[in-house]
Parts: sequence; C-alpha cells; structure tokens
Amino acid sequence: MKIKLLRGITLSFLVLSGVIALPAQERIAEKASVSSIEQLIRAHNYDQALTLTRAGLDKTPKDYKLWTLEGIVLSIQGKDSDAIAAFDKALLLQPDYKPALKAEVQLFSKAEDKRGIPLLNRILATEPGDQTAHEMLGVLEGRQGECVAADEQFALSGDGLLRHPESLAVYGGCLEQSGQTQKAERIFTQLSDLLPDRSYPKYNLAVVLVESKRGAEAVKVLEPLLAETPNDPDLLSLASDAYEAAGDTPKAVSLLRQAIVLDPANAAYYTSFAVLCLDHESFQVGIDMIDAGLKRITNDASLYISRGLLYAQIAKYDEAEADFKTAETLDSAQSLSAYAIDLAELQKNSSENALTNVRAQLQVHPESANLHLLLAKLLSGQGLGSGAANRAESHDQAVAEALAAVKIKPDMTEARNLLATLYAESGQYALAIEQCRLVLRTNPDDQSAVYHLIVALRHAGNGTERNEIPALVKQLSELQTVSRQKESDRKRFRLVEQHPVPSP
Amino acid sequence: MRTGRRGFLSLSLAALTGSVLELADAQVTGMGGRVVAPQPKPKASGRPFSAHFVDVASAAGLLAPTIYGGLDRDQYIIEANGCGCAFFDYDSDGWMDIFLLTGTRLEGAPPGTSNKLYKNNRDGTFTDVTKKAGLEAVGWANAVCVGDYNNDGHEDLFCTYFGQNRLYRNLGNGSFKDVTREAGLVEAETRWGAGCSFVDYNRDGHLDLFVSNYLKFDFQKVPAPGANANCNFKGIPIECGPRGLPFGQHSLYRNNGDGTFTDVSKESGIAKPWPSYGMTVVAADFNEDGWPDIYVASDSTPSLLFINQHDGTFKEEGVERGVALGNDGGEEAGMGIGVGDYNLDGHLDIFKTHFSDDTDVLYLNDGTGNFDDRTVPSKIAVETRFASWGAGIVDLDNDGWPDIFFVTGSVYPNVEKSLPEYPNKSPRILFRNLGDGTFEEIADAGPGISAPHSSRGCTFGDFDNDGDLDILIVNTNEPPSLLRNDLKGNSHWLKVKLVGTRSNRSAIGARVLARYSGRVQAQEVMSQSSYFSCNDSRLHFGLGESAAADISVHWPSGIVEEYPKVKCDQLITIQEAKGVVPNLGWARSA
Repeated sequence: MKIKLLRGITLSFLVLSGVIALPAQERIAEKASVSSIEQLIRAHNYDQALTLTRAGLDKTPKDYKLWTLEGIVLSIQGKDSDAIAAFDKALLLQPDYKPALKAEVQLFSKAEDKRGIPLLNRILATEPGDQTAHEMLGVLEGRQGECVAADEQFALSGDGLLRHPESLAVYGGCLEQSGQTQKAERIFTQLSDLLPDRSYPKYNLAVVLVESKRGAEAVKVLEPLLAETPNDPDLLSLASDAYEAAGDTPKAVSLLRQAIVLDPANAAYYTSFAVLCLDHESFQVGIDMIDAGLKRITNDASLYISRGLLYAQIAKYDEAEADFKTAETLDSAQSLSAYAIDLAELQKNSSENALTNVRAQLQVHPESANLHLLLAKLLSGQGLGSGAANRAESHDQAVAEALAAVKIKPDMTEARNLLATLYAESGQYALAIEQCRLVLRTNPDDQSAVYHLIVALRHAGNGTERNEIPALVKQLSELQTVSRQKESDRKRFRLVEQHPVPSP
Repeated sequence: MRTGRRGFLSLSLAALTGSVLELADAQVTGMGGRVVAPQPKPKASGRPFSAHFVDVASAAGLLAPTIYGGLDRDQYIIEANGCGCAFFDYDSDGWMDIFLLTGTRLEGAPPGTSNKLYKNNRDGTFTDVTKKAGLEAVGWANAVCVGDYNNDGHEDLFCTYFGQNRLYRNLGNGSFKDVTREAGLVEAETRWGAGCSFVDYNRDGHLDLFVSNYLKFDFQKVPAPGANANCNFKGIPIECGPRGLPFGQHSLYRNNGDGTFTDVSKESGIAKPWPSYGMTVVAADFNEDGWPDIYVASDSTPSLLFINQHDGTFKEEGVERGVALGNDGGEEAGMGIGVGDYNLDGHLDIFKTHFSDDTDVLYLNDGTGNFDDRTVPSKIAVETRFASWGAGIVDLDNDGWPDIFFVTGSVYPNVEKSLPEYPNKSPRILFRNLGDGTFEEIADAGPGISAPHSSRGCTFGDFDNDGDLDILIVNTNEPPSLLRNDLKGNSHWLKVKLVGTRSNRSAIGARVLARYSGRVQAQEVMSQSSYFSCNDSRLHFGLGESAAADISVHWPSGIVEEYPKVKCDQLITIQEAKGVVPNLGWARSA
C-alpha cells in the first residue's frame, strides 16, 4: 500500500504541475525545471535530481513544488526526517498542497507517527471520499488507541481494507478491545485467510472466540499453532482459556501449568490459575500456586489480590485483607485492592467499617466505578437511623452513587440493576423500567434485569408493556435453566493438589 | 501482532474480580446459599419489649431428643433437613398437646427413638402417650400437617417422610390409626415427601392434601462429601446437594369424601416438572378471591405460588407475583414460611427463611396476591449470620403488631471446627414490630431466645392457656425447646377458634379479620406453616390497648359472619352458621 501511494503521489504531482497559473514564460521555465527533475527521478538519478531541485530553490525559495520534489527525492533515498522537513516547508507555503500532504502522510504512516493524523484530516476535509486516506487514518488512530475514531475511519475505507493485512490487524485489535467480537471475528478470519502462513492472525481469532465463550471453535483454531510451537507460554495460556471455555478443565489446567513452568516469572499466568480455582471452588489449590508464584515475583499487586480473593472464599478474611493492603501498597494506582478490602469487611459482617473505608478510598480513587457501586449498595441498605426523612436521604445518596458508577462505566449492569431496585423501592417505576432496558441492551441474558423489569411492569407498565410480562417470565425461567446447567458443568471438576507438588 | 491480552494487570484482575463478583452474587455452597452482606444495624429504639421466653421443656417432661443425622458431620443431605412439630388438640379438651417428629441415623436410630405425642396435663407438664396413641414410628420424617380430613371432629395427622408418607386418622379415643393404604396414599416408589398441607382446594367441604417433594434421592447415586463443588462449603467437604441432584415433583390429592384420596397432581397442573426442591407448604387465599392458593418454599430454586383457578386447576405465578426470588432476581434457599399481616392492612404477608450469608425475606401483599419485597426497608436484612428454619409472623408481646420470630441452626456440623463464625448451634432470632413498617432485632427476650441450638421446625401456640403465644422448637439431636412466654404488662389479646360445618370441620382456609385501634389484622387457619410444622389452630390476636375488636370470619364455604365488639382477653369459639359456642376446656370471660 505504501509503495503504491508514493508512486501515486509522484504522478499526481506531475498532473498537478500542469495547471499552475503563471505567466507564460515562467510557466515554460517552470515546466522545464520540474520536468527535468521528474526525468531524473524516473532515471533513478536522485543525486542530480536533488542538486537541480536545490538550485531551483536557491532562485525561488518559496516554490512549494520544488520543496515537495526535494522531499520526494529525500524520502526515496531513505532520508525520512529530511524529507519531512522539506514537506513541512512546502506545506507552510501552501498548506493544502495535496502532493506534499500525501507524501508526508505516507512517511508518518510508515513510522506509525501520529503527526500524520491532522494531515490526513486535512486531506479528507477536501476529499472526503478518499478511501485510502480513511484507511490510513484508521490505522494511525487505532495505533494510538483511539479505537472509536479508528472504527469510524475503517467504516469509510471501502473494500480495499480487506486486502491490507496491516490495516486488518489494527482494525481487528480495535474491535476486540471495544468488545465488538462478532466484527473482530470476521476481520481476523479474513486476515488469517490473507496470511495463511502467519500465526498471529489465528492467535487473535482465537482470542476473540474465547472472549465470545466459543471455546470449542477456539480450540480448533489453536491446535495447529500448538503443534507448531508447543513451548510458547502465551499460546499455552490462551489455549488453556479455550479448553476451559470448551469444558475441558483437565486440559486447561495442564496447559496453564505448562505455561507457568515455561515462564514462571509471569504474574498473569498465576492470576489465570487463580481464576480457574475460583471457578471450580478449589481455593486452597489456588492459594498454594500463588504462594509458589510469590516466591519468584515479590512485587506484583495482582498476585496479592488473587490470593486475597481466594482467602476470602474460605473465610480467612484477615489474611485476605492483609494481601489486599499489600497490593494497595505495591500499586496504589489501581483501585481493585481497595474494593476487595471492602468486600472482605462486608464478608466479616463489618459493614460499618466497609462504609468508612469506601468513602475514604473514593477520595483516592474517585474514578473507581466499583467503589461507587459498593457505596451505593451500602447506602441502599442503611436507612440512616429511623424515620422517613433519613431513609429518603440514604436512598437519594445511594441513587447518586449508582449514577456516578454508570457515568464512569455506562455498561456496568450491576449498577443499573441496583438503580432499578432503588427506583422501584421509591415507586419510580418508569425510571426502573428504563434502567432494566438499558441493562438488557448490554446483556439480554441478565436475569436480575429481566426480573426487575417484570416487577416494574407489573406496577407501572401500560397495557402493551404489561403484555410483555408472560414472555419475560418464560425468558427468566429459560435463563435460570441455562445457568443451572452451566453451574453444573462448572462444578464437575475440582482442582486437587498433586503429591509431590511440582515446582515451577 | 498479537492483540494485547496478557500481562495487563487490569485485564487479569478484571477477570479475577469478575469471577469473584459472580461468585459473590450467586454462590451456591451445598444447600442453596448465596453471599449477601447484612444491612447495617440501626440504632436501638429503646422501647421495652415485654415478652420473655424461658425454656421449660425439661420441666415439662419433653426429654426425648429428636434424632436426626450425624452428631459431628453428615454424609448425606437427608441427615440435614430435620423435621417439624405441632401444637394440636388431639383429645379435644381445649389444651394444646404436642406432636414432635423425629429422624434417624445412617447407622440406625438409638433405641427408643420415635415420633412423640405428648398429652398436655394442664399444669405445665406433658405425658408421653405416643405408644398408647399408636403413633410410634421412626424414619426420616420431615413434616407434619394437621386437619380433620374426615370431618368427624377429631384432628388427624399427615406426616411426610423420605420413603413413605403416613396418614393417621384420629379415632377420637386417644389413639390413631395408620390409614395410609386405605386412603390411597401409598406411593408406588420411594419419594422424599417434604412439606404438606391439608387444603380444601375445590371448596367441597372436604380437606384435600398437597405434598411437596424435595428431591430424588438415592443413596447409591449421591456423591460423597467433597466429591465436587456442590459438596463443598468454603473449601470444606460437606454433604452434597441440593444443587446437582434431581428435582422432586409435587403432589395434590383430592379428598373423595369417603376416607380416600385420588391423586390429581397431573390434572390440577401441580405435577409439571417445576425446577423446585420443595420444602414448607402454606395454603392460604393470598389473592382474596375466596379460593385457597398454595405457596411452596423451594430450596435453591424459585419458590412456587400456585394460584387457584377455581376449576380444579392451579397456575404457577410465583415470579410475576414477586414471591419466587430475592429482590435481585436470584434464587434463594427457601425453607420456612411465616404468614401474617405485619402492617395491619388486612392482607396476608409472607416471611421466608433462608441460608446463612443471605437475608431472610419479607414479602408485602397488596391484597391482590401481588407482593413487594420489603426485606431491606423493613430492616430485617441486618441478620444474615445463620441458616434459618421455622418462622412465624406472630404477636409475641400482644401489642397489636405481629412480630417476626425464627429459629436457626447449621446444616454442616463439621464446619464450625475450621470456621467458628459458622457455628453448628446458634440462637433464636426475634424481630419486634415497630409499627412503622420496620422491625428491630431483640436479643434479650429471655434465655430461651439466646440459647444456641441447631433447630429446625417450630410451632406457635398457647400451651398454658394464659393468653400469650409460646413456642415449641425441634432441636436436632437434642430434646426440644418449649419456650414459655412470661409476658408482662397489660396488653390485651383475643383468641378465635373456628369450627366449620359447611366448610371443613377444622376451618382450614377460614380467614379472620380483627379490627382494633383503627387497624385491621388478617389471619387464616392453616394446616402447615413455619418449617414443616403446624401452629395452634386458635388464631391469636394481640390487641395492644384495645379492649375489644370487631371480628369478621370469612369461611371457606363463602359465608361471611360479623362479630362486632368482641371483648378482649378471652378465647371465643365460633361455629359456622351458628355463632359463638362454648369453648372446650377454657371458660369464657364475662
């Protein structure tokens, strides 16, 4: 794509050079100079082309075309930063000069330099239909992590995108990060077809399939990769996720253990193991594995949080809190340990401590949606003292905190479900219905939201809305059946210690 | 270029925290449990509570322990559920006698183990008349429901079992006869009968019978403790279930009027394969249409509300009527049921007990059989420490506002060694009604409340006929507790005993509305409530300062009778279509 664009720039420059309105004699002289330089470039006579260009610039230093030519030659010679300087000069003199814009964009794209973004925006301001520019802009935005902007650009890129592996890779990554797994799957499938001999497209496709809980399909994609590179710990850990999602817990555990053995200093594998242990209620096994990890990795907050959460499951709340506090010390920027400390307090039936802690932690982590939600839950149960006024005050504060949580994280369904409950409790059923519907837009299988909607519609739905109730009841029953089956599958396996315990 | 999936703290932790939050929201640990934080306790009201409970079981002669499962650990869930009890007047002398079920052990019950019938000697003591009454039996008994199924004036008993349920006809001469077979109630296969209730569902004047079933249990097929994640409590191996075990199926038997019953489970709509581990059964007219409905507390599954369709069939509407699930839509444990009118609006509300680390739930009836979850606003959510069982919405201090009482006890006797915060034995819980829609936990209502036991069924009644409510409690592997209420103060009361004539003789399903102090309290005569138990059938109303109450009786037959300005501090016996008749064994006040 890059090479074709450069040739395109040269050609378009040459086409444009014929339409400049200059006095006749000067035009002839201009044409001679430009066409001479162009001939030299075609003949790969770059040094001479450069000399001629610079000679012209000595005479007419404000000639933006000559600056552009200089930039083109320099970029062909691989002197990119000098070329950029030349294009900058051209654009200072003539900001909308397309050949200079496009040539400089080309260099910025190659370097994955975000300075290309404003230039591309300028191109698109006058040529909104330029699909190539949209695609390039999408790639640059995506590489900067601006996936929403990137998504918009890729949507305008046209079918050419589907033939460009680099663009597809960036697009797919953005879709995966923003949770658009269906689209991401299509993109990575296309990329895998384009690059059948490369492993990363299949890896990415498997990531998306695992995230979509399509474990069996992910396993199918990963099996050939595992055969090729059986000692890649990252691949092993992804395959572990895939096998677990496919219901093969023994295989999942085995692969993850291999990943740990191969890369025992990678904290993420230990936290993944902790997730497996939590899912299969094998808490002590998880604790023992984290203990082993902590012998090698002493300063990773995630390990302490993992172990703390496991301790909490076996009611060792003091040990759990100690771990959470260590995590907080190691990485005070993350708020999860603070949140976990509060959960532990609640599990100990110390809700007053939890309330005090949460308020203090929100001073430090006001951006934590989890903490706002936890405060909302505590306030919703509180009803300060007795009396309707106090209860109303607590209720209003709880609503405010839940709203703060969804403002930070609009897809936080738990917060919206709490809002639905709070609104229903105060008779504001229309608001409750609204929250339920928002949750179900994010997750149509959210049982709490379905139930809250049934209750709210029963109270305040109009005739048409109340007619929804039987279908919702049926839907809830079906969801419960599916949940029970999933739980049954999840609980089929428990992780047990091997004796002797193999060390990482 | 692999997508950034690994190595980010936030991603791994998000997955981890997500798992934990999922677990916290829906953790099922063996016998139907969740993990819910308690509500913070509000400040004490400072108002004195005049009821005071003392355990007089030993002095009363109730010495036999209720044998149920292992002492230190249970192998199977069958050992954990325990059983119920009843206050009922088997000899019609106006004094409440006591019936206590028992279980057994895997290795066999100790000699002398049996269900027990104790005759009230009217002096605070009881005599064991079990053998004389022909009620000796031992097995995995669960529930008792009481009702005069043949309308001969004597209260009969139906007992549920893992195995074969039993119908005992009261012969009227101090003895009972096992008429299970002749009544057509013998089961073709081994089933786990749980809760039961006599109920005249078709309003023909004869008591029919509803039986809930817990699950399909087979000693050969149930996994051993700790075998899988359904058999673990916070990492400690425990008996498996109910999750992971097959559901039971409930039954409805129509009384043919000739001493026999016909199984109408299918045609009535009861026998559909509900995903339900059925426990206590309550029959009452929740939607006040004159026809009895049936509510089944269900363990770890949605509780069921069967609404009577008036045509011999029922429609299950628990979810849409708001009584099936917790207020977050989650399935809860669901063991015992208290029924009463806690806010004095004339409608029957429901209180249901649940597992440890979860709140019990209070459902407010709007009068149409639709309920709102008032657990948090009522402030009963302060208590989540213990697994809770038998319960009642009952006025224990006679102030006119029904209180909430329930008993507790662990199902995992082996857990407390490792986790002392989950003790095997724990106190009784009493919430006094503050009269404003909220309750306050009372810890100091006497040693009978604070004494720790592993309890299951309980029944409310006035065994000493002194005008207040006493409580009989089944304690696992211990003798029962008989909590005598030594109520102080001058609060008034009224008891109403009903005798059906066109309606069933026991008046089961009759609703009484008592109007006093500008309010109205509803109660119904029931065959079972609490946990697997049956209360004194004399409806007890605390009247507070009111010296009289206006009484309305809504008979199952449809007749409505009014009795205005009934004086307080007495028992009145009302016979359908006849009026107030002399009490049995209790003098009427002037």
